[in-house]
Amino acid sequence: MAKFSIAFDHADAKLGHYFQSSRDDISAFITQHDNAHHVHEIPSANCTQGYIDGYMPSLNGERSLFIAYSHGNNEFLSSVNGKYILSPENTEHFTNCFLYSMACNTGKILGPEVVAKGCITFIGYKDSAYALLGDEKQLSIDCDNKAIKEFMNGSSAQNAVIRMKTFIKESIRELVRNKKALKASYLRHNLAVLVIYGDSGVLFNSFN
Amino acid sequence: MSNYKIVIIHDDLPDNDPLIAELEIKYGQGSVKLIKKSQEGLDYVLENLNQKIIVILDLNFKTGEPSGVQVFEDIRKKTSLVYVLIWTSSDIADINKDDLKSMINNDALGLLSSTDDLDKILNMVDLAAHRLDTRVSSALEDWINSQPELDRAKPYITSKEGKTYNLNQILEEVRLQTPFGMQTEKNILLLAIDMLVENEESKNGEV
Repeated sequence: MAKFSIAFDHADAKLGHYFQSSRDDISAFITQHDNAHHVHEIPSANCTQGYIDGYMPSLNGERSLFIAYSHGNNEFLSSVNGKYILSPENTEHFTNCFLYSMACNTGKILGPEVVAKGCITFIGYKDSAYALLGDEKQLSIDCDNKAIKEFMNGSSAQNAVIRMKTFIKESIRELVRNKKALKASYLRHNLAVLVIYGDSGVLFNSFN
Repeated sequence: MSNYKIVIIHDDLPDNDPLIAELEIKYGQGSVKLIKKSQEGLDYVLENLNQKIIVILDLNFKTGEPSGVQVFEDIRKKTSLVYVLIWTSSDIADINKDDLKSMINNDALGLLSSTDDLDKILNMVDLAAHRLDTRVSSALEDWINSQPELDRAKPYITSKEGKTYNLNQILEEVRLQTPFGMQTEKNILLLAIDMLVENEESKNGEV
């Protein structure tokens, strides 16, 4: 049994539906993977620094996975209620954590910083990242969630990222075949800015 | 070659100038528009940004009309995709230094002198047409303009920073060469290179 925390800013005016759908997708996968996994949900109302500062220490430094679906920037993850994980204020709370952030830019400063403070592994984007909408929304979510799913299925963190990149490349080819090259080009950008820091050989079973 | 519009904004050029006849032979009947008032020329260009436009712009206009540099700067405020050739009767050394700086910094793509012969001017227009054809931004502009208007207004992409763009807005960002517009051009170019490399690799694999 692994412990998951899922932050999702479903109340965001523009991308709330995307963050909600991303969370629904991974929640369904986690349940299917093993009903015994423990999932703690952090919706918009709790995506605040105050909540994180109280909640994370309550995990007592046990190994856990933290997944974030929200906006972000170089030094923070944010929601409609403000910044909830930010450098340097509360990055020390992620010791022994596997942090999976699908927000923009968090791989620039925040990711390396949490790893320097004891976070086991960080996977995220080091630049702007894009969400495809319309008919390609599910494809975009599948791309975003690919590495965490692969990791849970037994790939090392590094191999999970490699599989995610392979999946994004296949999705790009499919979009180009369907004459959606412009959308494919934004996915290609996501591919280029996906990064992993920390222990790349870590396996999911070490979180059970 | 008839999909270009060549707009000559010049107050002294006669309607029957050989340049106009030669350009119409090469680029098709109706492809050349001579406009003698600079403000009208500017308005025309800005109202027709959905076409591939090459502007041949005189620098000096009669008092009361915006100068050629002013017209040029106003075009650049709206788009970097229009190809602008500056045509001057002055010697380059006589052009105001600030005007010259503005032309260089805002990407004037050619400088013609009234002493240049017809062939040289035609060659410059050919080069402009070629560059318009081969720029990523122009290809993107063509593609977006070919989409139904209804589709162009639908949300197309959202950055996870929270900015949503429809196709019209993407085109606007590319025209204005904003960071997002330039990133979009770069994304397309990199994707094209990826596709080329993959094709090449798959061909090699078949041998």
